[in-house]
Amino acid sequence: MGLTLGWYYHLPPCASADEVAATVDDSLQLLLQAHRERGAPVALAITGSLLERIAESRPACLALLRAAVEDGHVQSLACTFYEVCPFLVPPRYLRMQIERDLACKERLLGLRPTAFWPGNLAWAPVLGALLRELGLRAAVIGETHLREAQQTQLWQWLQGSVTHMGSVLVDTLAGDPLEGRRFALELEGGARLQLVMASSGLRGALSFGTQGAIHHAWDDAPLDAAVRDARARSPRWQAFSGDDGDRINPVSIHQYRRLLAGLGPILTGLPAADHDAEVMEFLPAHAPGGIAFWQDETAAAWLRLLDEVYRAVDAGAVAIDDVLPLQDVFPVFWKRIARARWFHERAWSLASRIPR
Amino acid sequence: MMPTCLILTSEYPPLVLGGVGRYVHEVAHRLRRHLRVAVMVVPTYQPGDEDRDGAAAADDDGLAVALAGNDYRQALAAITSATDAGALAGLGTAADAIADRCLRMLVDAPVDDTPVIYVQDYALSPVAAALRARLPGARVVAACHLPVYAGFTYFDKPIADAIHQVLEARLVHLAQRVVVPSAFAAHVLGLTHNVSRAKLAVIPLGAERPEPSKPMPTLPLRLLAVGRATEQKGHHFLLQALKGLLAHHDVQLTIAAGATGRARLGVMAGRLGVAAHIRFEEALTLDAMWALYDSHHVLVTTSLYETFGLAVLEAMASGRPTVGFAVGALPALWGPDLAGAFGTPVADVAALVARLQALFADERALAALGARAECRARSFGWARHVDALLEVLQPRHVVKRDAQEPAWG
Repeated sequence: MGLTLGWYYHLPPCASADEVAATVDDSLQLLLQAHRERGAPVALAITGSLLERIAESRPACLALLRAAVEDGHVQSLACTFYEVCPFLVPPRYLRMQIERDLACKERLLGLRPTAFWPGNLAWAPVLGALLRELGLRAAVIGETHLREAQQTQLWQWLQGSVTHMGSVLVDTLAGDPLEGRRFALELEGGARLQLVMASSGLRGALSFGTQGAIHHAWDDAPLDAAVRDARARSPRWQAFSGDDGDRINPVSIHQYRRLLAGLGPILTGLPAADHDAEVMEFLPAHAPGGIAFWQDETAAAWLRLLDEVYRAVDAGAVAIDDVLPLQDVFPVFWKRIARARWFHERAWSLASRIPR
Repeated sequence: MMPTCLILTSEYPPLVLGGVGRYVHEVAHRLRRHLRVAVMVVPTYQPGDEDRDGAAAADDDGLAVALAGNDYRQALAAITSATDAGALAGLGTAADAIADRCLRMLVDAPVDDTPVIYVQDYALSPVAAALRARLPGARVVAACHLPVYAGFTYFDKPIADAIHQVLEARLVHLAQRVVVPSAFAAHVLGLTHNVSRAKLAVIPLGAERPEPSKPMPTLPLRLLAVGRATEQKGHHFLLQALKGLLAHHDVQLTIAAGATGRARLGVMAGRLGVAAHIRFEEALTLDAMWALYDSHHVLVTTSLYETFGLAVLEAMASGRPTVGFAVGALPALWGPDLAGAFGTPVADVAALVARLQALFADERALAALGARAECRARSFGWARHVDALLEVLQPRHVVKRDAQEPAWG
């Protein structure tokens, strides 16, 4: 029993070399050194596309990472090669994104991951079977997602009018604390995918935004309280605190080092397969902000353009390697940002190659 | 007739919190040789001086300087959310009042003059917008001294809300040109607010001693750290480094951290058992700063985010090595010849201690590095800054450049 810490790293393909350098020098390097100094385990999901850029521009950091994976205190997690939203990408491309990520990690880090961290903790139902086919035994999912997936729909009739019918979603967990409960997704043929729930409460307390305890370099009290709480609960407690948005930086590293020192033996790697887990039959699509945010009119226009690019691939006019970076969520998530131009220019250029 | 430049700032002596106040003072006086300059000082996140709130005054050199009261600061503090319409309206009202005062300062300007408004603080973007509404032909130029960076918050500002990003974004998009002190700062603004390269003008700050630098002082070793007591300045790492050094050397550390720094840092130093080796300096005039550099051997910088490093440059101009975390714009400021000697990996206290110990072991090398630093600092003069700034403020202004000037970068 114990606590697993996890971090997710990605930069979009439009990121500059300076951004890659800053991500390594001001974050990843500090994180790796802190865990090495303490011998503390950590789960790391670095997208394959970023890992390749790190290998190119910061080979010393890659060597440090590879050594940490080899000695076991870094557990490398699979993700998609670029950060994609799984329900916005055709399944064959989704498979390709994961396969490329796995191959990249096997090549650069010397080990094939066995667990998967979807970017933004987004999910599509197709992922369950796909991950098992690719040899992955576990997936990180968000606590909010898990709670949503446990809801059940109740129909209500005759609300004010005989013609009116509505429904409500009932939270079958009724706000119960979920830390320590274990879940698995049942797949066809009896196979199971272990679900590692990223605790919203722990993330909020430790790392989220500027409020989490590690961001207060000059105030030890919030972190000391979090450590005391974790130590008190640890004998019967299993939890995962992962952050896929906020990264370790030169301000937060001070308290993060104290966190590792304070938690010591409580820290563990991802839990092993658990046959007593509560079994779920279905995990619905999910993405933070709600599905509508990812499929609004601006996003839909971009996705229609990508459909044209897929047609160009099918017609043999465009190489698949040129399409994969365009599936990054950047132009969907940051749809009104000028840097989205990087994606639109490339997509228009590729779509124009369709034979008329 | 000279064109008019109105500088909108939240800091100006004696209301000086950091480098911005010193910058505005220096630049305003130098710009006067080319432009009619007026300065409006509007407190934003620190209290102003209610007693001085009133009609435009003049500073000791006859420069027109007006100090607003605390209404704007209070309106700013009342905003608890970026979508708080009532509080935003209150800020707009306070901005309108200041804009009207600015107009009164410009009342003597020639009728055909289109003034330039040079804004020094993103929190003043509503004032700049109100002024432009009153002077549609006015040119707005923004100085972004410390743009925010991913993963960092707006240091020593209330951090609960996105209003700071909103105000900064508003300023950079209102302005025709944006002046930044380093290529690093330009890169940050490009990423965070999508500011185009054509809009950005990288103009490094300057440092010029009134008299030549002094030789190194006698022992014991004296270290100097300059910067407000905020987490961004990394004083917690500095104090840990001092503890490491004290195991091997007799070292004195002076921390110039402003009036409020002593209490916070004193507690931290007490916990680490190094308080007896630290002297705190509170608010200092620039003249006093030069004397401070002269009386120390090395400036140590543990800043975790730096978009220029004015104190680093001033110490270099005083012939002092400047050693510390190689973050942000500092490697470019040190230049390729010195970055390796001065820079250490960020947040790595052991590496910083080792670098300082190596320096202390060889007094001649220490002095030689100081001389090289002074040589490097000569390429960062205020005259050069102002020439480049004039081209941005008044695009028709043509500056005859010295072809022999060394590169800034």
